[in-house]
Amino acid sequence: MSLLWLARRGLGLCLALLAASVIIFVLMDLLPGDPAEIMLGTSARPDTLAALRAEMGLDRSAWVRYAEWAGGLLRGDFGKSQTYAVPVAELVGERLVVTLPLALISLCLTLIIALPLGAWAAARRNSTTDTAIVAITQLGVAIPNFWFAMMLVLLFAISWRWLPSGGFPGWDAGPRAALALILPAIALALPQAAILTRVMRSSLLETLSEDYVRTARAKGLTRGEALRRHAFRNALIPVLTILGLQFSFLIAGTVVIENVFSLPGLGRLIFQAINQRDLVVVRSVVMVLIAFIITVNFVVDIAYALVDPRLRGRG
Amino acid sequence: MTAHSFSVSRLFHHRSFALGSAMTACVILVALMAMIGTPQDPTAMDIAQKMQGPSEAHWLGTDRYGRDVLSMAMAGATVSLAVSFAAVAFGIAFGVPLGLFAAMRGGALDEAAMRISDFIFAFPALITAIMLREIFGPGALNAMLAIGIFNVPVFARVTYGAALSMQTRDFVVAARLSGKGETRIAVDHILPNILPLLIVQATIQLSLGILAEAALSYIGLGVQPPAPSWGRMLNDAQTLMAVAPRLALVPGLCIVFTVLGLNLLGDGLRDLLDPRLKRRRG
Repeated sequence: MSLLWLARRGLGLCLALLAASVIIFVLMDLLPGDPAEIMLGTSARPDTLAALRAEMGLDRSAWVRYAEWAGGLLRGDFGKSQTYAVPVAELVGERLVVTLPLALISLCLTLIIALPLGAWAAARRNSTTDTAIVAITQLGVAIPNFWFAMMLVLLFAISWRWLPSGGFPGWDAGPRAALALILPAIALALPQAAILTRVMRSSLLETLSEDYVRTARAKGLTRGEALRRHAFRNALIPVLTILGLQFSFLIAGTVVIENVFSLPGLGRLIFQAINQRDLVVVRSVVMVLIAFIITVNFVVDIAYALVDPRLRGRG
Repeated sequence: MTAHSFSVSRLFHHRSFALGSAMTACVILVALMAMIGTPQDPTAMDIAQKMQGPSEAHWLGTDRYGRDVLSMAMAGATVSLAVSFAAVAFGIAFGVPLGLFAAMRGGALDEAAMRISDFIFAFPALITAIMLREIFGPGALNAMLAIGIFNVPVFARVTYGAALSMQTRDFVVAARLSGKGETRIAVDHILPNILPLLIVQATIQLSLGILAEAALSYIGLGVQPPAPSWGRMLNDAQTLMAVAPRLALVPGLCIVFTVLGLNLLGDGLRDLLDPRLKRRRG
């Protein structure tokens, strides 16, 4: 991978992060009017308002405020929450230990379900198994994850009482904490797995018709061997693409699912902050989530180039 | 120009197209009917009749405020489709010209336009809805804009890719030689030829829009009470799941039915409109 290519990509990443921070600042700080008044409500006393304005630096120009906010972000200082009176970075850290494991578990679940299922369907193309798998994925894509979550709660928590219906005991509780994440992770993984199974299937079907697979068959490999040794790896490239694109859906899904299960993660933090009019928290958490998505897309880009050297020449 | 031979019987022999269009037609019909009127006022509360099971007066029962669940579900279809259609229109209105422009111009502008569209793609509708909430307040408009903005890069990319592959086709080269301007070529020759792809993408984005609208209304960023919506109904139903799972089942199944129908329709259209893709998909 050429250094120049990597440098260009790195510059693109920095520009994207910069642009995102400007957009978030303009939409959430400049346009809505007086953030101090939004936070305190119209019935607030003038001196309280003035005090909050001074604390938030609203008496200074927008440029200065943006520079301070963005500069703070770079140093890991995300501002201070008005309702919790603690640094936002601390809140984000506390919540990440729930959101990150949740996202990772569901990502693993997605891959564990989708790759074998997609490969299985492709290997038995047009069989009953294939048709059944395609039908199930069609249904999986159509089910909203938060509704699926509610149905899981109805079955596993309310009817059978196997798993908790919501809440999170904290990682100190050990296995109970892991149990609390099972249903949310399954709910998040379902639509992702359904999409990825379809991608895996069609991608594998395409590679199976390539010349090198035919050559492999001609030299005596069985269909299954050719699939395992030659087609599978190549079929993963489009899967990786879609996985990268799906990542923003995974993050959005986490935000919604955390609210279904009352999990104290970043998503729940955003909504608590919205209800409490704590704009500093909302703005910074939105920035964290967007930065996360942009960075993952960047990593996927690099990963492509590693897997497929043909792509390095482009842009 | 497109050389697909079309016949109605061929259309309806395609299983997913037939099933998908029938399901979608059902939902659209219900949504239109609900605009004229629902069996009962979907916002009318009647506490005396609360939490009733299905009966002759209330086919799908009533919720905790005694509202008629059937009427709410019907009115929800109207809201859901309206938001989703508007968001797709928004995506097409901005995305298609952007993609066409990038494909026709080429060079640095092309690169910049597509980078911007990649960038917008990093903003899921949910995050956009959170950001726009401070300006527009929560509501159907907020949901429509958030989903619509997400649709822009999707349509830009599809248009760009398809339009780029048309650049070397004989009829485009001929049009260029005959002295037609780039805009004329784009509108007269490229657009009609990529229309099938755009229609398929519109169907997919419609179904994604339904899902996104439901999620946004569920968490309180979309349609606001008392306006009925499937997402709101699910939010209301959540605390009552142990007592009345029916309240969660009805709107959920409405969403699944609608999205499934649109997806099947999209799959069918893709096979029928673009034989090239069909062969590739096996």
